[in-house]
Amino acid sequence: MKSTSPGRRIAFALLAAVAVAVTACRGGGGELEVSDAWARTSPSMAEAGAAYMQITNGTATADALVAVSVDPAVAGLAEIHETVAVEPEMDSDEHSATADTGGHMMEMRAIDRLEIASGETASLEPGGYHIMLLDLARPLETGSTIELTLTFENAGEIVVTAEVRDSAP
Amino acid sequence: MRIPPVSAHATSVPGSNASRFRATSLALALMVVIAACGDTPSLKGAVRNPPLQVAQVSLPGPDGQDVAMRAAPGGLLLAYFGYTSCPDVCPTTMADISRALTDLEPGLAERVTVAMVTVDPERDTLERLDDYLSHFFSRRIPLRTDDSARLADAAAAFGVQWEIEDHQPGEAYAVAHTALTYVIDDTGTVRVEWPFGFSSEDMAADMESLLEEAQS
Repeated sequence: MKSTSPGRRIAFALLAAVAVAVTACRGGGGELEVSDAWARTSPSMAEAGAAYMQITNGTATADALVAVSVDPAVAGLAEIHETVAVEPEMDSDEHSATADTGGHMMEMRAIDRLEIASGETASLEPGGYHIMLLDLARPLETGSTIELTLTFENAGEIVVTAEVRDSAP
Repeated sequence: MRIPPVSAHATSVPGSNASRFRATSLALALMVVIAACGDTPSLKGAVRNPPLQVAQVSLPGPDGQDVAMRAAPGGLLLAYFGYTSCPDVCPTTMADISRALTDLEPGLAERVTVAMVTVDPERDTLERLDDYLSHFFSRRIPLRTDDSARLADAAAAFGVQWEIEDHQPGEAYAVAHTALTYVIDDTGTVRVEWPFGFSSEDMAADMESLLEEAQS
């Protein structure tokens, strides 16, 4: 995840080229496509941020997002996360009243891979899957953009540009 | 999620027209009584019966002053338990509330204050929490205590749970937490609760209903 190999710059250029190629193929079908990528504007003091997107697997085989990297000038680390609702411990009667009202805890977990079946779209959205950005180098400012390098099991690496916004596009 | 439905199933009552008429009359009478009560505007969030009373809960706020969980007269206090290192759930809800307040008429929005209680006092100072809230709101109250028993008591009054992820000192960690927003009136009664993902349009509608009721 924290790859800072000497060949990084070359790899980056190569990835950018791949991204352009992928973009050029858009609409042709049969590709793994990332769209609507955005990151939430972060409060000035926040150390963590989140990015969201739609990943559509137009290929004939299942694929999986297995890693994400980000320029250290943006954040120290990027991880694939999932927010899940967990049932509250039923240690008092109070909680039963909230059982059907979202009264459970929201828990965030890092996951190793996000599988996307052929023909399916994985939605990375608030309260679900997201790319967590840790140790932000500076606040994510509305209107700016950040680049994320997504690594897929089959499709390889795809660089996506995420727009920083207050809410989903 | 909603106020219990008023349903007498009048049309399904078997038997004579007379008994059907009686059932219908009864249902109508009930509806009139409920309408006459007038203090239960139709709300889109979750309404608890009986409602939670939280006026007795107070936590240290800015300048070390204890802040009670009740709104200013005629206003609303939105209370949320979260933490500032929360990248997904908390800022999503804060942004949704912020948008809802923007959607309200200014005269109504200025009667609403947002209070956030940190469930991560280890990392969140009061200044940090205030800085975080200032990103979303002008009328805000950061609340924090180092006294874990006091935080637990306050959370219990709302039915809030939280759990700090196991971590080594200095290591980043997540905090699982109840992600409801509690809408409190000036008597310290929780009037409605919004689950995570509740739309800003519905938040605005609920606040408008409650603020207009408070005015009348």
